[in-house]
Amino acid sequence: MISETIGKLAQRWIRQRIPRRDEIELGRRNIFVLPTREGMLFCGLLVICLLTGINYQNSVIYLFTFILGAVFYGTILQTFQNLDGLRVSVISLGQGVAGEPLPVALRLTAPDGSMRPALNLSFDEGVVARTVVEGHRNDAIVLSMVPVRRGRVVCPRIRLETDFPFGLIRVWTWIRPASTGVATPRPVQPPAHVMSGESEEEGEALVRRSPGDTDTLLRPYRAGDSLKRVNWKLFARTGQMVVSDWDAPSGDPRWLNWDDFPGVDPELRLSYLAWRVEDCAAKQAPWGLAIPGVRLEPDLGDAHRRESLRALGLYGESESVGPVDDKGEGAAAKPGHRAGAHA
Amino acid sequence: MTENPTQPVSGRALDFWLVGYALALLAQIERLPLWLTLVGFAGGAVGWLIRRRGWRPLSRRWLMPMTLGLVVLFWLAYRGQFTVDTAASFLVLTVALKWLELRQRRDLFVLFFIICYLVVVTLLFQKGLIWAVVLLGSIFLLFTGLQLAMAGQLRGLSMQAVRRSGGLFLKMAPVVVVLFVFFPRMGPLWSVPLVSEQGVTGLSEEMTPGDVSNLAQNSDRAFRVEFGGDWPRPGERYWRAIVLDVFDGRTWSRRDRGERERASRVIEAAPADALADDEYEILMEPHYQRWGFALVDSVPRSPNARQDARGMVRFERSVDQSVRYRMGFESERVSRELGESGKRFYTHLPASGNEMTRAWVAEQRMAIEDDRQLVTRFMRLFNQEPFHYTLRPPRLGEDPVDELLFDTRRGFCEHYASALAFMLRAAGIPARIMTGYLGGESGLNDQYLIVRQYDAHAWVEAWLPEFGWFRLDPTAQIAPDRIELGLREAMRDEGSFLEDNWASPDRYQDLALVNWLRLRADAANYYWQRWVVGYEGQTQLALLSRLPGNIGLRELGFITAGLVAAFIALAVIIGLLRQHQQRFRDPWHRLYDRWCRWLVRQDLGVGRGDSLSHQVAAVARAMPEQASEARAFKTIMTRHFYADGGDGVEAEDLKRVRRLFGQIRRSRLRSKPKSGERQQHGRR
Repeated sequence: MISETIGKLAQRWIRQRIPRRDEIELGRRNIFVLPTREGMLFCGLLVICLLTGINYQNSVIYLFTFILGAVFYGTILQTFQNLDGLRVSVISLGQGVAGEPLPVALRLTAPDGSMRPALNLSFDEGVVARTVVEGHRNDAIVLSMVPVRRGRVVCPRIRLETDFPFGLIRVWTWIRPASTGVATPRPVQPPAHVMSGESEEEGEALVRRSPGDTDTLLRPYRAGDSLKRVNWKLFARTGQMVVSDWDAPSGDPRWLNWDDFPGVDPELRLSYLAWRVEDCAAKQAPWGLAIPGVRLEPDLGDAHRRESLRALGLYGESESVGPVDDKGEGAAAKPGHRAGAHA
Repeated sequence: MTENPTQPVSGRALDFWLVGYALALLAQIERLPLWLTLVGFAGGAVGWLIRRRGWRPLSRRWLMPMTLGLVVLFWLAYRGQFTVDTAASFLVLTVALKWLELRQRRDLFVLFFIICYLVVVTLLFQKGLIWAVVLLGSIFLLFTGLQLAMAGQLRGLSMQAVRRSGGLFLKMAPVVVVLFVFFPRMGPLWSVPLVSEQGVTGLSEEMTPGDVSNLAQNSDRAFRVEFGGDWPRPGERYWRAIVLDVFDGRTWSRRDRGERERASRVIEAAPADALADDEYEILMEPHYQRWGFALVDSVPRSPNARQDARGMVRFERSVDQSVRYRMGFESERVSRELGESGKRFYTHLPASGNEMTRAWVAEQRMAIEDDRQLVTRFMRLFNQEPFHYTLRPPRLGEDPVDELLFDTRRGFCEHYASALAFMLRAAGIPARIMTGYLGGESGLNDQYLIVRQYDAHAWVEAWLPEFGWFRLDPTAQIAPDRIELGLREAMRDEGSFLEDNWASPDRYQDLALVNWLRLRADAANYYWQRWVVGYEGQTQLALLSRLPGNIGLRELGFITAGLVAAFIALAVIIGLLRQHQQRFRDPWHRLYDRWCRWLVRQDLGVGRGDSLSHQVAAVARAMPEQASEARAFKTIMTRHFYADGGDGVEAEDLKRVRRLFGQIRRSRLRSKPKSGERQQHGRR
């Protein structure tokens, strides 16, 4: 209970101390230093040595104890210098399928050109990814995390630490990238009967749509619009012919429509659409995507595919990169990001 | 630091550790039994081969019985000995076994720690300058190795590691010196004896003339003396150590031998202030006995030594580490009276044996009534008869005194002292054998006197009512050179000086270079012992009492803490200065630098990398009420950096731009910075 409270306080303190940022210069303000377990043991060794020296009135043992102690003390500074002045840039958080590794690319540079051996980068929770950075170098280091749900991915804090040279002192800092990534829905192959494009139940599906659904774009009825698209409920209330415009021109086989899978849970629907995007991309068949709020004209190519998947991933979330809410972060990071590295 | 048991990542670390460990073992080689030394080296070598050359690791099935076997062997070898020596030997065994089991990172650390402690423990037994340097090297190798163990798979790091730990050791040297000088030395706590047996040659507690003597062949140092005033004449340098007062016909021994020794504190060193004219100071090598050395008519002046009823220097505890103590010339506070029982004791002889001598003594006794004249007569005997001083005496049989006096007439101090004491006792004059050392050699620049084992000597003390105990040295009658010039000169003709000890540099004193080196090395060692090894509580207080103020242990504690704190502060200041150096001289640049840092702190999503326009735009977005100030700021900055502003307005501009920056900052402080941050966060 108490430890939980303390943990929370510590978390908050760290969040305040290290705001989310993509460019970080490490220094006294954001580097933490503590002895490792071995370092504590080493202090114990120092005490024993000192006792031996006192008890046998052995000045040379005093001398050696002081040498050991001074080296330990010097190690604090030396280990600190491994991180001090290092510049960390978060290059990007990529885009990936939910449940599969999402790359997080970082770059470490030492502006003074010094060598920084044996740095470890890892995520806080679960299995850590370890990567040893040999000195400063300019190629990106790619960590990966596994987002569990589709949507905008807030990167959990990344721990950059080192206990070089002696493993007695550990210095670390947390990198909290400001930029976010996108986890796209996991593709799921739609079963054959749901794929039956224009079904009779579509109208009902429309009706079932909750009235509060603001994603639906409504526009006045124009000649040529399918009658099925007319919002009859609204017509009954207001007497105006209004058409729901979130749909793409139906009947065009190139369009992947939100409505293609009436009655299906939205998340599953996104998964179906993702599968179809992948399917079209694999078949080199041009496709367009129409889901509430987004309309992508039919096209081909990898960029288009990524864009489509990104749109699916961000469905229901505001497009603009909003402020990263630190309170939400806990929840975002909670689902146990499994992380691994390929650096 | 990747854990990969199959890959010998830590290999290079083990190279360094093996050498460091071997050095620590070498330093203990004299002390350790042969089997343990071998086990020690074998453990290290096999462990190294396993990790480094891919030998198959020992399975637990083998390791367990082997460990058990070695522990049993150890128990058998050290049974019943409860000393530091035993514990240190066990530590060697532990380290040797640990080498065989290096599986994880934790094992490496355990090995590192116990080798470190092994090195420290070694210092209990080896305190010489050379070994201290060697062991320091060993510590250095240990740390360098640890670095490699931690570095993971980085290649080509060995040299770098050496350089890095070298730099660290050097940088920390001032801290070490400060700590060493000022760290308060506490008194010793209770401690078990250091070693269990007498490992060092030295004076023996008994003397059997006619047995082979080996001290004369030994050039080890026994002790060194520094005099406050003039040195006594060479013929007066009789260093008394042991009284041998019981004679069984062949062997002289001590009455009070076998005193039980209780566990006690280690002997503390004497103070280190300047010696008075009538004082001298002895720095004694450990001899694992309780006696000390002193000239006649002197008393202890330092609290660590005391004088027993017969005026001999004694210590509370066996001298298992070098000890420094002070003596002052002063007549001993020992009664000159000798009671009837005392007279009986000091004239006691076995009922029979050496009949010829007894008869001769009885004859003299009849002729000379006066004890003093009788003593003179005895001494003249050694002078007149053709006695010969030699280090190669013949062996003596059942009646050693008879044989020596009437037959062989060859021998050295022990023989003649024994004979004289026998004669005196036979004549009813209380007498005893005194053993110790005679003479000594000048150290470098005549700073101190070195007394070595081959200076060992035996003489006689007799008691007469009008004098008390007084010295009689028959050897002086036979070989005056031994007294005045030392053993080396006395043996010049015979050539027996250190004849069995070809490795001793003392044997080659005639070679100028050897002698030069020998004296210099001894001086280095002396000052090391005196000022580093012997830098204990009393020495420290004496040294620091020269500083103003009353410095006690508590003040020392404050001083140490203060100095260490000062050092830490210094390190921080140096760090800050270094950072400051990276800043700019030019006030405009400095201002721009401050501006950039402020921007980063405000978390507006812009930093040093963005152009001034972007920066200002971001500020204007975040703080609309300050938009105009921000734009003005930009205008002036741009004018300065990109246009040739007239020199006249520069100063004015700088003031204005500073004021603008100040305004913006204050306004920022007033508004709620947190919410502003949130708004702009990450818009890139």
